[in-house]
Amino acid sequence: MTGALTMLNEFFQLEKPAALMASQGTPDLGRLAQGLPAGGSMDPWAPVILNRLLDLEDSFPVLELTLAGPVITAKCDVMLALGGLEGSLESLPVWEPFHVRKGDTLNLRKIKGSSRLYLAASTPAAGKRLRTLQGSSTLRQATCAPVHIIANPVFSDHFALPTLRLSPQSDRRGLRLEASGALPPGHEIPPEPMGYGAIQMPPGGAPIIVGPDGPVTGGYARIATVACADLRRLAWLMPGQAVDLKPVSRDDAVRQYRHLEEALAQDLIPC
Amino acid sequence: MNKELLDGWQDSGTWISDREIAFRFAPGTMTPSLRRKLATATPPVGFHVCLGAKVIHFVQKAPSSEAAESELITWLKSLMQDKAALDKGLVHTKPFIVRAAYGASVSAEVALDLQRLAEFNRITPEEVVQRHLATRYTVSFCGFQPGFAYLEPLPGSPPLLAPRHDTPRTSVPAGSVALGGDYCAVYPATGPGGWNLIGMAHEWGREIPAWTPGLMVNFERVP
Repeated sequence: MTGALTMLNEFFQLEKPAALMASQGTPDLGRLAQGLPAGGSMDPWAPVILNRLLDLEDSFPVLELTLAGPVITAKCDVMLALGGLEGSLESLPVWEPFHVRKGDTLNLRKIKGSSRLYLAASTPAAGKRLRTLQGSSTLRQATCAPVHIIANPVFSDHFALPTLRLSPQSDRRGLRLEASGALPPGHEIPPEPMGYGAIQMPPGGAPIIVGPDGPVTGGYARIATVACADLRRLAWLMPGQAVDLKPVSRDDAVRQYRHLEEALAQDLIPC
Repeated sequence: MNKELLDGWQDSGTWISDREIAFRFAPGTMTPSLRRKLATATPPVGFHVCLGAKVIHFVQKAPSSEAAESELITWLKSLMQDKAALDKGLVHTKPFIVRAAYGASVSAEVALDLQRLAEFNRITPEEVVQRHLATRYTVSFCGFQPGFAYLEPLPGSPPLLAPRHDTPRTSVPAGSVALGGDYCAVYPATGPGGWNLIGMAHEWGREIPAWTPGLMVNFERVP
């Protein structure tokens, strides 16, 4: 998954690097039984949408920037697309391709209102068809929307969750949550599969949402799983931000996912 | 539905989420050879295998159709019916040796967990180490992190109690020898973990075995 870093070097001079900057694409579930996390972008839709905007392959990796991006100067004329919440970067559009001229400097350091921003770039080849997706303004409102979770049918206890906030101790391996209120009692289990979106409840308190680079198996009770359609909301969460985990049936979760797929098929930003 | 498959299995598949289905199995059903076979198998309709202690999950990247479930069960049935290939046990007769340091020569964090385990089991920290060294472990399955193998059984009869920490540590050093729940393991890389640390593998990384279900493992003390 070095594709996006090669792209960065090809098109840009790195003026100031960013600490948390990585090439991320589609997850690889092929070696879970060897303990390899599936990886992939925290927002599973971002690479697909950005690549479509630039008429690149859906699976091409993009740059995932966390909390602060780099400062870069274009070595040549470049077509760029950014993915994130609207207003994340002052004066630069999101989910909309734009031209950058040779010598232009882009300051991506101040990402606002969201933890992550995605970046894809391509040469502005003549005659290239650029697609414009509609609906980016709805993406801004979507930050307040709940994160839907599917209760684990094997975890029999009924539970209610108090207000949860994202702990600053979170990364791509795990999103640790802080609770202000009583939590369902966690317990140990024989190790079982986890993976991106699994919600673990250690006996000591606050739940942990497993990230794309997180443990493949684990021994803390898995109370629920974040619906596939809402995984992208985890990418945007800021440290300290409230997280509203809302139960949904498996059927409804599948329906929500289909809805996003259909939107994308109609060149709408899935939201 | 699917009577043959239910032989030794607790159910015919439970959807854990919108993209993941679980099959539970009775103790003894999961032989090392079946685990080895599943670990490298390619299931149909975009499912991927993830092994657990008492359960196998089949995971998809995104939700697929209901029809996928019956296709998966048909595939699993035919895999389970190949009994001859599945009844073989261990892969190597010679155990792999992990050399590790215990006790005073390792970090304070490790010492704390040895004390914790000693108290749980009402024995001395040195006895915890001695029982661990006297155990012939077998790789049950791989998971957690790349290069992480669950080794069983825990020493003693009844086995040592090794409850995980109530809140996992955010960083456990690579090469840590640890006991957690019903298993022993060596942390292959530095990362989060909730197990009880009891030692540090010697020159970890120089020679890491290709962990595979059925492989036998012994620990040897270095000063």
